[in-house]
Amino acid sequence: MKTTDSEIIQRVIEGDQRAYAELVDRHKDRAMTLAVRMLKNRSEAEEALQDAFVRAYRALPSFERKSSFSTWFYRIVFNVCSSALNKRGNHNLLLIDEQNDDEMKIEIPSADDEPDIELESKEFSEIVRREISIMEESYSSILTMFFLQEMSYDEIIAVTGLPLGTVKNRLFRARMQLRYAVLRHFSETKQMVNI
Amino acid sequence: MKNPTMQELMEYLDGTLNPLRYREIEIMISRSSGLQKEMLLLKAIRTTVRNDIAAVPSKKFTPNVMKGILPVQQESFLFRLVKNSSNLFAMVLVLSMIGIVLVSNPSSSTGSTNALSKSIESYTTTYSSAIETISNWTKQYTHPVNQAVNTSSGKFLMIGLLTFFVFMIVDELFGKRYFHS
Repeated sequence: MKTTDSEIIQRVIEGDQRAYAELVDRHKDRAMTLAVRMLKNRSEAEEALQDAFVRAYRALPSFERKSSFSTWFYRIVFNVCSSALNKRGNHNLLLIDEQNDDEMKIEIPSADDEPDIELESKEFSEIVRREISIMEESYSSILTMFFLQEMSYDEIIAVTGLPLGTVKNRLFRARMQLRYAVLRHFSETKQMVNI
Repeated sequence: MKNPTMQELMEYLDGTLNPLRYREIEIMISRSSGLQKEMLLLKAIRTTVRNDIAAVPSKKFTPNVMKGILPVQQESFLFRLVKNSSNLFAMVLVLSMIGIVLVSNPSSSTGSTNALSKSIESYTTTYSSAIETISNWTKQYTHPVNQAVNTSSGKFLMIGLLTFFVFMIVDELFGKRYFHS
């Protein structure tokens, strides 16, 4: 049976420092994705993640286990990456967005306007990936937490410290950006075929 | 029934919509090909983002993290001496020089069956006479120093220095230091 994060943490606290490696292996891939999407640079992301794991280890005795280890740890990753972005001069990550309810009430366009999209094609995945890589970090980080980390709104709020409205707004904008990118690409392809 | 907005469609997909509105939208989707197409697009985007691991850390990532966590025991003086290639080279060089000098000593190549032991014997004699010369020289030139050392403050100073050097040697040889890299 697979050991839980809680059991590993207990072992680490009791002195089995090497057990922490298991926890690192378990969370590093998904956490790396979050760091890469925030910092947009692989080596900087790896460095930040390493720093986050060391900080988490040192703070482990104070981890109260009210939330899951991943939520607690992602908060550390988010803070480390935010600090790195602040050093670069990007301060918009923690700004609270103005609530724009009208934007979120966009009606569904007619099906006739939409091009034929091969949803399971490699091309489709490529467009989505490319768009995430150039997306503003304040959007891509929320998108990653929601979909890849499968966090709830409450967990994202706990990690980022942002209000619910801002979290929802950013997630909506990120999804719309991906949707527009896909539609734009396939419309252009359709036009080129028609020419 | 009011037509769903994009936000409501997303919430429908995420399962975060209230049950009443959820049922309404479910009916609308079943009747509209446009909504069905939109739902498929949103689902495909969600699946792609869920499966997209943007980057995997390098193979040495976990060992590097552990290096930053686990205390590192400092190696012993001898191990440090041997592990460094330049130190090792210097040691080999010195030993080789000694060997060459011993073997090439003229007194050792006079037809003796044990040249090495003879040369060692000859060097022992040379060493003894050198010690004697140095001792005489020390007596001659260090008389004022001896006088100073024989005073009580001089003795204290010497004991202090001796203790310091002994401590340094013991610490270097047996001291185990822990530090975080």
